[in-house]
Amino acid sequence: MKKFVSSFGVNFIGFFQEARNITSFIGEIFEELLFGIRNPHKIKWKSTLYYMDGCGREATGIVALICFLMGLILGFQSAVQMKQFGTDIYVANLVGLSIVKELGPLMVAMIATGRAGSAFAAELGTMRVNEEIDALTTMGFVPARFLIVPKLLAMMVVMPILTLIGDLLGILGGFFVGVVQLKLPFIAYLNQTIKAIHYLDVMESMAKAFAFAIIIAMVGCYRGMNSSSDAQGVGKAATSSVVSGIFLIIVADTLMTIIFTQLRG
Amino acid sequence: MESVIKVDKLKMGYGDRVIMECLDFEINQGEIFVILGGSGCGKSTLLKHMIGLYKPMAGDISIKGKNIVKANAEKKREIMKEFGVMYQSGALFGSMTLEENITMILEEVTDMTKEEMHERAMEKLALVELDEFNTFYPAEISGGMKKRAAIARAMALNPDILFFDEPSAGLDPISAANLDALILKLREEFKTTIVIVTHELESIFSIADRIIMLDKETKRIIEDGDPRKLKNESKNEWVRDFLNRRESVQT
Repeated sequence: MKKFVSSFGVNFIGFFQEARNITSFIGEIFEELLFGIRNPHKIKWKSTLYYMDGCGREATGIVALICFLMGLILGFQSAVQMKQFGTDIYVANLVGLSIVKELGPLMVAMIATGRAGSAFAAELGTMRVNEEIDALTTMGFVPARFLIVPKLLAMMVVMPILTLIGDLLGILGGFFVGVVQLKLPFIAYLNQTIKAIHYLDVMESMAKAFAFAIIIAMVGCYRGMNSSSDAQGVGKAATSSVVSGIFLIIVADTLMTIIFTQLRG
Repeated sequence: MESVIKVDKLKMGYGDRVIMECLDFEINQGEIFVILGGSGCGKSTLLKHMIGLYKPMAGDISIKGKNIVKANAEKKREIMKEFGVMYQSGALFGSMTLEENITMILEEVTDMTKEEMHERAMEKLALVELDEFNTFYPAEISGGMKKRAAIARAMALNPDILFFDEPSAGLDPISAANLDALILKLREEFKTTIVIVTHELESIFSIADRIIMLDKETKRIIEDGDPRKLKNESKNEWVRDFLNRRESVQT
C-alpha cells in the first residue's frame, strides 16, 4: 500500500512537472514565432526551405499513393452497400466528403508524424547527445529560434499543400471505382462530387492540416529537445514523438470536428 | 592578479541529489586552471554550471564580475559572449564545413560582412593549423582535428576565457601533446584564461598552473594549488596517490 501511494505521488508530481515543461515550451516557441514575425530577417529561411523539401516534396509520392488507395478502398466498400439500394451515384458524396473532411487530413497527418515528427525528434535528440544544443546555447544562439522555428514554419506551409494533394488523390480513387466498377458516367460522378463538396469543407480540411502541422512539429521537437543524452534516449524520443503525436492529432481532430459541425449548424 | 571567474558557495546536483556543495574558488586572468577528480565526481557538471547551462541548487558564479546564475536569458547570452567552450565531442555541426561552423556564430552575434567573416574564420583555422581544411566537413577529418576545429570555433569571438571539457579524451598521445601545446600557445599569445576539466595527469603536469581536486565522498574541494607541488606535498594522502597514479586505500 505504501509503495502504491508513493508511486502514485511520484507519478502525480511528474505529470504536473511535465505539464509545466510543455507549457513553458509552447510559450517559448510562441515567443520565438512572434520574434520571427517582427524580425523576418532573423528567421533561418535556408533551414526552413530544407525542411519544406524534406517534409513536403519528398513526402508527396507516399501521400498521393496512400490517399489514392484510401479513396479506392472507401469507394469499393461503399459501392457494395449502395448498389443494393440503387444509390450508386452517392458513392461520390461519401468518398468526397469523407476524404476532404476527415480522412485526407488525418492520413496525411499520420504519414507526416511517422516521417517528419520522428525525424525531428531523432535529429534534435542526436544533437543533444553530441552536445550541439549546448554548444549553440553557449555560442549565444536561442536554440528554439535556430532549431525549432524553421521546422514549425516548414510544416505549417507544407501540410496544407500535402493535404490538398491527398484530398484530390483520394477523390480520384473513389472516382476510379465509380467510373470503372459502377460504370457511372464520368461527368455525372464529377458533377456529383462538385455538388457534394462545399468550399467550407475544403477550408475545414486546410484548417485541420494546419493544426496537425503545429502538433507534429511541436511534439517532435519537444521530444527531441528533452531526450536523454544517450542512444536509447534518441530512440525513445522518436518513438514517443510518433505515439503522442498520433494521440494528440486524434484528440484535436475530434475537437475540431465537433467545433466545425456546431459552427455550420 | 585580477580574478575573472568567481564561484561562491556553489551547491549543485540533479533533482534532490546533491553532487557537490560549498564550492568556493576564484580563477585569475591568464591562469590555466584544471578541475580534477575521480570519475563521476561532478567535474563536467561543475563546468556546465560555470558556463550557465545548469542552474545551481544554491550559490553564485560570476564571469568577469557578471553573475551568470541570476542573469535572465538575454543577459546570460551577453555573458556567454565573454567565453568560448570546447566540448568533449567537439560538438561541430556535421552539415556545415569547418569554415561555416565558425562563421555561423559571427553571423548570429556580429554585424561583420561576409568578407570579414571569412577572414576571421580563416584566421582562427590558421591558429589551429586547419586553414587548408576550411571546406572539409567534420566527418572528413580526424578526432584530433575535430578538437582543434572546435577550439577555433570557440575562439571565433576572441573571448578572454576558454572552457575545455576533457580536451584529450579519445586522442592518441601525440595528438594530446599537440593539443596541450596549442592550449599553452593560446595563453601565451592572447593571455586567455583557460579552464579545463580533465583527468589526464600528463596533460595536467605539462600545462596547469593550478588545480582543484573534487572529492565524491565529502562532496567538496579537497585540494587547491599547483599540481607539481601537490604531487608530493599535499596533506591529503588520496590526492598524493591520485597525482602519483598510486593505488589508494580510499579508491
